[in-house]
Amino acid sequence: MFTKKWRWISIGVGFLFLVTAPLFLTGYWIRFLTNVFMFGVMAEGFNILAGFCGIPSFGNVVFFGLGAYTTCIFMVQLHQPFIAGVVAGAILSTLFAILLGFPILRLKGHYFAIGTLGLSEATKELVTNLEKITKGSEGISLPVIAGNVNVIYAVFYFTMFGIMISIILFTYWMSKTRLGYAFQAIRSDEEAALVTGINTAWYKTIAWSVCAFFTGLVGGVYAYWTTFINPEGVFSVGITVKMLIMTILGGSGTILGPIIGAFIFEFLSELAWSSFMNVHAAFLGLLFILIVIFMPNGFMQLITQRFSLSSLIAQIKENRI
Amino acid sequence: MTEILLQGEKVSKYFGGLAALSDLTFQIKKGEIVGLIGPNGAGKTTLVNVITGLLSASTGKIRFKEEDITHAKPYHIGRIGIARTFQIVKCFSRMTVEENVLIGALFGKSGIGRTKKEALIKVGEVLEFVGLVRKKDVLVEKTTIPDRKRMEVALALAMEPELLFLDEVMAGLTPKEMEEMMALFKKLNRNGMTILLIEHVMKAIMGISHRVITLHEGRLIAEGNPEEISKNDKVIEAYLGSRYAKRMDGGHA
Repeated sequence: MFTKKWRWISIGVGFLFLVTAPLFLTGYWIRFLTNVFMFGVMAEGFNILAGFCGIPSFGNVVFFGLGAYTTCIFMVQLHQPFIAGVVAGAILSTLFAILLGFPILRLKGHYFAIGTLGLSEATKELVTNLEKITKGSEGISLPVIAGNVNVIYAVFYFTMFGIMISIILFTYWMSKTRLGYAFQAIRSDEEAALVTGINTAWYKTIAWSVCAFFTGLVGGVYAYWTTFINPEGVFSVGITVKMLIMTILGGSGTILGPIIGAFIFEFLSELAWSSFMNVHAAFLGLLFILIVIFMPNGFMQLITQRFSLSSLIAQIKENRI
Repeated sequence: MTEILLQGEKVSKYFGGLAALSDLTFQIKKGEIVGLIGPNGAGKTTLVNVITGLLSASTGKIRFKEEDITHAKPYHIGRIGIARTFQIVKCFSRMTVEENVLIGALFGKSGIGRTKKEALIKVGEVLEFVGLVRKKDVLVEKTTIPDRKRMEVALALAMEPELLFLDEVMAGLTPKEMEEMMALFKKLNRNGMTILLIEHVMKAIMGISHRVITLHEGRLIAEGNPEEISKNDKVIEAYLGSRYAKRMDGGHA
């Protein structure tokens, strides 16, 4: 449906719109988009791991929570600047991924999913119980920045936007290099990848660490942005589920899919909130079921492939019925 | 004396109490085409899995050139010069034929020191060799079975191995396709490649192997040139069952 030229033009227009948005959108929509960028980064991180490397993690939120808490503790308890906290959060998340990667990445398929879910829940409990440092389940407040609210919103908007652009560029670069080929080989057949000379344990750890780095980074920014975090909030399984849905919705294993998925998901859930207040979860659930049935390869498919009714029917027949 | 490339000494593999391989001693010399035959369940694929590191030998020793590879990791074995295909064709999905072969060129023997550009040159050569240049941009899911088998061979060749294991590459091919495949292997061998050809169809192997090793229930029951093997009583018995073999004997007498 889209030729290459049109694809680049739409990316350009989208980019320009997002760069200039704070000039004409209200605070509400700026916060909304900041949130979309944040989830875009997390979905893309999930995509690098699950979409490219084929490792279905159900505990990615652990990196978000660790990033958020590290930033918080650096700022509140250690009186360090925000930047130091965010960097420390991203580094700690990455180290956590590397250390736990070697044992946990040996698990396969469902077992890995369950293991990672357990890991994130266990970390949540740990953070909740380290009351002296984390103030436990009560949560911690961060210092509020003084100044013009709109300027502050814009700062967070561009920070999240910048991180999102970085992870998109990283994914694009990766998909063209040795790293991306190793990931995709592991995704389609780990045994074949192994005998082809790919050190799968090593590459899986890289995928997990990259994902942890970016997720930890946005976790830290999120903490300062909302100025209050608690374990239930930043270690919520719901956040992992969102990453997963966004990735599938947009198209897993594609470069822009998860970002588009994040936009669609957030717009739809906004719509569901405003129009079907009481049954919004049911509405949203139904919508996602329909999308997965009719577009199992995600929205990117509409853009990258010629789209017609007959191809849609063929798709449904092939995948679901 | 020709150099011994691969050597197994009393290699055994147990799955619980079941001996899938017992006390196998074998050699593959540089430049040979060795056939590995045996009825279903004889342990052929298990042996290849043990040599390539996907399974670990329970006892015994395996050497590749000077190196003990008994417990080496599969990726290490791939990088030092042993490549293989799989009985059930394994290829990297959602990628083109060229990209699949590229993975071999990027991670095989000289892969790590190579840029993608250099690797692509290698891929071009290999695709040319197996006759897949015209299909290089086709998604692997859209290729035919014979093409996919050729691609798997190309992927293995892009790793620049010294020893190539071909696990039942003939299965599912028409006689004509089989002949083309055999011609390809002969050409490879003339260029110096050592090949271990695993087949359970005897016919496919007899024409091109210099030497044939026969496994039955995890044991090596016969070894020799194709002609000797085809007349070997133990081999006939293993393939046809003792009663039928006796009857055949009686018929000839």
